[in-house]
Amino acid sequence: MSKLRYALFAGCTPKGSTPELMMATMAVAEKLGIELVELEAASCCGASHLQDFDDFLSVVLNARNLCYAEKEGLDMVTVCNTCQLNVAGANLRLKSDSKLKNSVNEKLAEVGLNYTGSVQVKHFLYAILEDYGLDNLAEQVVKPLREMNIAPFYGCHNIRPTDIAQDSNGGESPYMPTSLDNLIIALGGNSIDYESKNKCCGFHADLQAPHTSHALTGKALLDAKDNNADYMVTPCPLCHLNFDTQQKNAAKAAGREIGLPVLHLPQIIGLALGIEPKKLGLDKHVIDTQLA
Amino acid sequence: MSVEIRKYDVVIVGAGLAGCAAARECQMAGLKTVVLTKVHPLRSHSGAAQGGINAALNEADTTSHEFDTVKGSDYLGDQDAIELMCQKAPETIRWLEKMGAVFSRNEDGSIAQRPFGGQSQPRACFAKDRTGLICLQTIYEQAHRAGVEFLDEWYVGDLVYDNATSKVNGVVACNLRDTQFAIFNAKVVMFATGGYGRTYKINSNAHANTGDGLSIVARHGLPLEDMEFVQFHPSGLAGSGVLMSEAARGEGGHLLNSNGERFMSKYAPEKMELASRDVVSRGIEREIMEGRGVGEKKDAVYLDVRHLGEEKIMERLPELRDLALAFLGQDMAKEPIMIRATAHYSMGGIPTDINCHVKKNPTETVTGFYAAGECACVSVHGANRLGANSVLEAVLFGRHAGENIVKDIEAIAMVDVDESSADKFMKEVDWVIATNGSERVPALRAYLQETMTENAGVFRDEARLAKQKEIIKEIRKRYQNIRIDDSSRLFNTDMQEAIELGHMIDYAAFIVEGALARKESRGAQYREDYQSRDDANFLYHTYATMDGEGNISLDKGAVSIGKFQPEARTY
Amino acid sequence: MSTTRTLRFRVFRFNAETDYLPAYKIYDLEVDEHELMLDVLDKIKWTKDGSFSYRRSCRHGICGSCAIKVNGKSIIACKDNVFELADLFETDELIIEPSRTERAVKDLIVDKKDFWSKYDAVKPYLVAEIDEHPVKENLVTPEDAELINEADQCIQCGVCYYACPAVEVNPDFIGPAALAKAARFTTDVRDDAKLDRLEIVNELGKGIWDCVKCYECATACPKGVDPIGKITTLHNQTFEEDMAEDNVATRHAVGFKHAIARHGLLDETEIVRYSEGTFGMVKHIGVGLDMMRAGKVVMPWNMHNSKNLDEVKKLIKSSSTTTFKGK
Ligand SMILES: Cc1cc2nc3c(=O)[nH]c(=O)nc-3n(C[C@H](O)[C@H](O)[C@H](O)COP(=O)(O)OP(=O)(O)OC[C@H]3O[C@@H](n4cnc5c(N)ncnc54)[C@H](O)[C@@H]3O)c2cc1C
Ligand code: SF4
Ligand code: SF4
Ligand code: FES
Repeated sequence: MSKLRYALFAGCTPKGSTPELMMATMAVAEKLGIELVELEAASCCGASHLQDFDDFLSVVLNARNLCYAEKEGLDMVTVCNTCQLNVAGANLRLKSDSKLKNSVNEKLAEVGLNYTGSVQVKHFLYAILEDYGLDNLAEQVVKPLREMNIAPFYGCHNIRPTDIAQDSNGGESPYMPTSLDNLIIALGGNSIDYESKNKCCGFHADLQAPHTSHALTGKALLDAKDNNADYMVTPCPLCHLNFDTQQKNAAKAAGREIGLPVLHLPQIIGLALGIEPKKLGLDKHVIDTQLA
Repeated sequence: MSVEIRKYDVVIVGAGLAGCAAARECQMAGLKTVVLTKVHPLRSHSGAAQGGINAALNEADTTSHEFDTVKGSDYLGDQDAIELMCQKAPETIRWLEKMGAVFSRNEDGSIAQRPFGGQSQPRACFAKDRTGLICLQTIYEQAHRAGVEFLDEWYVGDLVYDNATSKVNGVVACNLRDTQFAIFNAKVVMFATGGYGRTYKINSNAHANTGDGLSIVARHGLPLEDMEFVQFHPSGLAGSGVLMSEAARGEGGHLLNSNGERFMSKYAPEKMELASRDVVSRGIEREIMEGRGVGEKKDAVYLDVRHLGEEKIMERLPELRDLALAFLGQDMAKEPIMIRATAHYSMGGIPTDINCHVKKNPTETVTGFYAAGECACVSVHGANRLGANSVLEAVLFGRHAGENIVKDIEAIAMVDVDESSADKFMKEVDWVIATNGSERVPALRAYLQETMTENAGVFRDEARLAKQKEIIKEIRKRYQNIRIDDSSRLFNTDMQEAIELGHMIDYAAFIVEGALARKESRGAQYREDYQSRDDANFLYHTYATMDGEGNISLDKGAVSIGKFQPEARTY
Repeated sequence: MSTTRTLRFRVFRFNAETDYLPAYKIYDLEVDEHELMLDVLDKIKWTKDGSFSYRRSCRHGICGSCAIKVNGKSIIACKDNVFELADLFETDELIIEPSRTERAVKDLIVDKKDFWSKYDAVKPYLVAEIDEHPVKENLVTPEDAELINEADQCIQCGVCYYACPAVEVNPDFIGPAALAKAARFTTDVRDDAKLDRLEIVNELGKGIWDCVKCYECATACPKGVDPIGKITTLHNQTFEEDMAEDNVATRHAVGFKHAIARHGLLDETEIVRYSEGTFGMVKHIGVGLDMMRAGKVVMPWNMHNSKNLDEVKKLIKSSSTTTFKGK
């Protein structure tokens, strides 16, 4: 296999409040021999909120982000579901709406850029699944996660809306997603089946509607826990923020103790590959992972 | 059990286009108005209309709209009513538009129009292929805004009719949620209960279209008019009968048989696929009968729209594409789809004069009783209705009924009624729930539908109709011996289906009796034993009444002829 | 030849008058490849148990009566093919339930009062002086008509509403269907009540700011209404029309622009402070300390910027389409 290379759209949260995700992503990529070229010029994707205030601006900024991947001639990889939604979503809109593309390019011309629509955007999970291959990955496992019951939590924006998922994430079904389950199995772990795995964590209403957010966070965590999960794993740092840093609030809303450690996708890969827990940032969680 | 008696000025039964339009007029005039409907108003079958609503938006086209309608009706339409409809049509469309309807538009912002079968001009205004939904939504919304009281999931089972004074004083209804009965006592009652296509096996109608209103009226000895005229739409999806709007042909779709021939060239060389519905339906059924059908059972023909291109199909016919995908797994952008004729529209119904007053015989009306929409026969469609004329009729005459109610009501007395008025319907319901025979309602209904399609369908003759008359008698007898599973009083849909079957049996008998007596072919009625129209003997409206045993007697009503004298009808 | 399969259906049965708890009854049925879920319901009612109750009318996806859930998927029964559902869930056994079990009255029939009260809340009708006898229509360009079109296809089936997690945990949330309805009218050039409606949908705790952006509604809607897209339209119109109140929700949306203009990237502490206001930060102190302890907080002096930040600044200047004054 020729070496896999991608442009990495790191996103704000991995560079901010979930530094462990960034650490684990880089460590895993290195171990697997995947080259991630970080787009240092990239700006925030807008997090599905900027569009509420100024939809056009949010498309323009993401078109600029895409231009940098086009310049590198590399497909783009994201490590956050919401980055995926916004960047891949802008890509899809621009590819299918020539009028929008023209007016966006008019703006980009002012800074000497031009969007062509030549790159794909996919979440790291699907880069591993589709390009690296689960069989390949399984071969690299040195510490199978045999003892661990892991609840996969997919996070909305990797699987919905369907048109973006079809275009960029291998058409994963929003009703019967399987990628994370398969990945957990490939790593030797037990993947837990539970109703909430493709539901919403509530993150995007955290500030505006905290009750809603906490209630959803608590529901999903408890559902996983009640189905005997030892850990939850998610490909999305925003889901992670809610599950980890807001877990106490969620427990309050649910009126029950929770205490479920939540891992990032590359962290479980890293553990199975035998990477040292500290290098995966497993000590940087609010809810103790007992692994670091 | 005690029965609540509620008092209103106006009680309207049915919340489709006709009912909502009337209700809004009454409410705006300050009358205390209630609308009763067995499904939520927005679930009424008006919402299913796809293709369009006719109006001569260019005034110069009005006479031609009248002529097309008269010709389409095979000269059985009443020309005074047709004239009123065609003249008021443009105002009606624009009124809908002003109330919020989102019609498809021309570049200059005016309302766009498309060609439709049997029309000399493109005159169907439309909202993609979801015209009915948009119109129903709009009228309901504005009626709701005006403050009309809607009671949904209330089933009306009887009319409070005083035979001696020929006056209607209300209706008897039951709340489907808890089977509680109530009498809605009012000065005026209006029926807008929709069509009766469910009596056929292959049909395009909703489950709710069981023609209740017709049988309720007929059980009081009041007449029904022209019931033999049932329109078979050329393009129902094979198997289910679900409609593929005429818009598919209006936009340029072709019909092909198993040899790949555009067979309509044999039956309507000039208009081809856009000939009147009865002509196209017979063409399709003839091809199937003669062995040139397609599909596993060779019981369908192809409708091919591929040459329109995917873009136009998505722009103009998105709903149709979805339907063929869901029901047949066929994508009309990529392959021809399978269709066949489907029972679609009821030309006959409760006879009314041009101002929507229900008639008790060919010349006299009932006091305090109105009807409009598909359940009524005013008659603008005569023996065959033109596509896109019935949404128009429902809106226009619904509103017209409302306006007439407002005009008349001061002179109409409020006659108080007592609880005993509810006895008949309550007994009927109690009997259905309690009776413990051996016949099953779904099987009996299927038997009625299959035999009606076979014996009183697109092609008819004396022998088959006579046979069907006997079959209906048999079914009527077997109905006395039914049993249902649900004995509860909470959303008893089992009971509802049984009551509805009772209605279907009653009005099916009218269809057969009328068809038998009409020894001619006219519009939708095609008699293989009398293949031509016979104006000398049959240019009249059938008025039929039923006695307590279900026997039907026939009478004749005059046809109003105006500008257009009957002549041969070719396409 | 058409193929058939025998499938097992586990069906929610309940009568609110007589039953304390629902029961799931099993029916094994032979189903053919063209059959839709509604055919299955009809078969159960017509051949197994006549007392089985559900709503349906048009049977072809236009009346909105037959919303149910199958294996948790919110659908209208007359649109989803049975084989496809079985294949989707990789199973021979489908679970049929009402749209919301808590609101079941009888079997699959739910009390939809909650749904209709939300519908009523957004003034679901064109507000305009209506010319009762017009001789000319309003002129509306095809483009303007097209803007309304998608939202106008809604059949009020409630599939999105009963799929919405925010509705489930916050009964006051207006929800996707009614918000799409509101947008249908706020985008109509003929409507006079745009501002009233925007005010209604902006109420915190009920309106557009309570959406968690899960896209369940857009995924479930059988008519392509894309309710979340319409919610975004309402968000945008709120700012365009200067109807945005100065509160945590609006500041949060606007805050992204400020953050990006400053660093290219988001300063997560700053966005919380900007949205909540300095006093509002108090309630986040607990979580903030937890995060600090875990090494999750980037100190202002460590916050770094995107490369070529000047480009971002320039684009923000040239491409902004709205401003925020904050009422
Ligand atoms: C699939 C289809 C497509 C069509 N397309 C077109 C088209 O493109 N153009 C066109 O012009 N026409 C079309 N038509 C015909 C047209 O839609 C109807 O004729 C018209 O909408 C009828 O309106 P209505 O108000 O009379 O009745 P409906 O809309 O059928 O309403 C009947 C009302 O009566 C109520 N009701 C009935 N019985 C009872 C009872 N016992 N108790 C309480 N309430 C009761 C129902 O709940 C309902 O509210 C189409 C018809 C079908 C079936
Ligand atoms: S996107 Fe918003 S409205 Fe739609 S289902 Fe999710 S929370 Fe509800
Ligand atoms: S938006 Fe879609 S899912 Fe929601 S009620 Fe309307 S048609 Fe149904
Ligand atoms: S029965 Fe009308 S939408 Fe399903």
